[in-house]
Amino acid sequence: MQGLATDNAPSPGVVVPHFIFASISFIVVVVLMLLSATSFTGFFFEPHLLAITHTAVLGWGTMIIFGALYQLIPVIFETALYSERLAKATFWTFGAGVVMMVYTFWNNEFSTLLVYSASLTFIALMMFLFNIVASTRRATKKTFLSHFITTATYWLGLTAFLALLIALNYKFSFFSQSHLLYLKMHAHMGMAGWFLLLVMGAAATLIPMFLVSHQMNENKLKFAFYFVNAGLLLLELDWLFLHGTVMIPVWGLLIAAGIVFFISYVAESYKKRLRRNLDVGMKHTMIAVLAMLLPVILGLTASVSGLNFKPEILWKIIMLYGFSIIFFFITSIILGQTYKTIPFIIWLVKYKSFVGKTKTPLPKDLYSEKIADIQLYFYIASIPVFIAGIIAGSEIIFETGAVLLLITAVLYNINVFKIVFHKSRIENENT
Amino acid sequence: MIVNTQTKISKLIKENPEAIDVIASINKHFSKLKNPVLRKLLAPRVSVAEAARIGGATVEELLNRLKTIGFEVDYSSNIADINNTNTDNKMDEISKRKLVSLDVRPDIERGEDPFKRIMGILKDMPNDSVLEVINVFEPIPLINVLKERGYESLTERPAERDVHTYFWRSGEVKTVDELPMIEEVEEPSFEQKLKSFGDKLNTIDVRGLEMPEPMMNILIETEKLPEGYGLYVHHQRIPQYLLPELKKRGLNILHRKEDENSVKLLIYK
Repeated sequence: MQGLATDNAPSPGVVVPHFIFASISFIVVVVLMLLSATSFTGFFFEPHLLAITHTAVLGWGTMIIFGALYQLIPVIFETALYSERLAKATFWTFGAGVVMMVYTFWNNEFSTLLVYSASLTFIALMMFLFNIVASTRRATKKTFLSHFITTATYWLGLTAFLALLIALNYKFSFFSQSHLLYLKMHAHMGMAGWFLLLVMGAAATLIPMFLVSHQMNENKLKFAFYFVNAGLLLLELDWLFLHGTVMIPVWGLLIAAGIVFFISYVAESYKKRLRRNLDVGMKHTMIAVLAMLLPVILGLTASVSGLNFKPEILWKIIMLYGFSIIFFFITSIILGQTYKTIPFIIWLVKYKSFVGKTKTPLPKDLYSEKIADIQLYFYIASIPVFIAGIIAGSEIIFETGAVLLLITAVLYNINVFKIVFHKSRIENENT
Repeated sequence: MIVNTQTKISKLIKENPEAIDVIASINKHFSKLKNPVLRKLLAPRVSVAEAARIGGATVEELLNRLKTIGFEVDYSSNIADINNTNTDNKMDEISKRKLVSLDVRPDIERGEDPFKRIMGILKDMPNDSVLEVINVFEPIPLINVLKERGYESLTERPAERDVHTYFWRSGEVKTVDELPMIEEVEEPSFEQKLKSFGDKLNTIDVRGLEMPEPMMNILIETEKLPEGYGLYVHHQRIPQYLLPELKKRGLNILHRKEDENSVKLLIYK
């Protein structure tokens, strides 16, 4: 019996900046949204939409996932992160890449700046990929969950690679097909390959941990994993070589089946939970899990070409499809899991060494529960308003939704900064 | 990690294995020993002050050397005096007894631990005899162990690398022979260690608790742990964020994995 590695936990200096960057990005996303409501209610593809999407998926979603993942690696893999220095370098490179990319999109600099911002982001994501793969290689614990994380990371790499090709195509035009086809491939790799798989893997670890549910049926997760990957792979290959056949909805159904298995896993955890009361974090998480059904239905509907929707109706379905993935599913799960992770990280730093020796606060004492509750209500209220705004094509309704989400974002930021800059309540700190 | 005169050598070695070489360097004779005999010799009971004594160096000297490999040192804590009372009385006591002499220097030369041999001789030795152990250094771990078992001791240093230590029974002999002897620095197996605690075991089950309650409960329990007790924990997973803190508090952790959802931990000082 060998000794346990006791230093797997990452240092907070690696993790915390990701949360700060992401929280601010969240506000930026909503402000940009308010500035260009027409992008969401019109029916054409335009630069502001791309700027908002990328601020959301990279600056907000991916950035916070990076931070959370560095923290989760010891739990999932029972190993330390391969390199903290690389993680820090990744943070700065990625942060710069995202800012530059959003600027590029917003100001319509496709033929000039896009290649550079895409390259910078690509390099950052490769650094991340290397760090994760190198970490998992020395993992002592090989559970099925780790496949979700590594596979998601590979899909992220692929997403970024395709993005780089798309960016280069703006300059050198070498694609045989419309670049919208490649954009579709890129978006689905990112959504289903990176976000969906990663969130599934992380949530499958965290949800039973926070709800305290035992004896979970791991087979559901295996099915979820194989169905999503198979569906996505077939979808991408179909698009790449056959440019979209009638089989597209079938591949979509495979992904949907995977999602259903995952939801069933979460439902099981919910039923078997020992913790009866859900806190704000878990409420947000449950909303996110339920919200997965919306894009499933919308995506499948949009993919059946036989339905012959009018272009503006089809565009609304697609808009709502993308919007619900980013702002209902991803955003809600992040809002929830932030309350489960960052207070704990800061609590570890400030109070761990005092536990048992003197009375210490709990992680949930580091933020205002009242603010978190109000934030949840504003967030929930924004969902139907956004849906109505997009369906009705009404700027004013959409903007109302954006205001509700902006209040959500501000309240969220107040709590995040409250946690990050928490002052220890124990005097004579000697750590 | 801050090192003072009372810090246990085993902790230093765990923190930084180079510590063993530093300790070996204070006495040129030690360098012959090195691992693993030296590790055994400097088993968990030996403090920095005692190690310096064993090596015939001053405690400041040893602390200085530990500083060079990156330990933070604290010179302030006072040095516990091991050899204390009236040497003359003890000399009288020894002279009245029959002397059994044992030279363990060849064992040391061969890199062997003479502990078992000494214990064997002591076991058969009549109560009115005294055992003289001739060694190259003062066998502090042995003195400590035997003290617990009701032996008195006296050390003389006629010359360098010629240290005579006398052991004799005083009063009633405690029958604690089955107690663990010098603990080896190599981690004992989970089962062995668990057995060794017998009834002296507190048990907690943290599987039904939400984070960070398992960690908090374990830390609270370890703070309450009486001397010589172990804490047996039923956990769902290896607590990655707890481990550094347990280590910082100088606790030892052994684990046994039952399956993917169940881990047993044994935590002790």
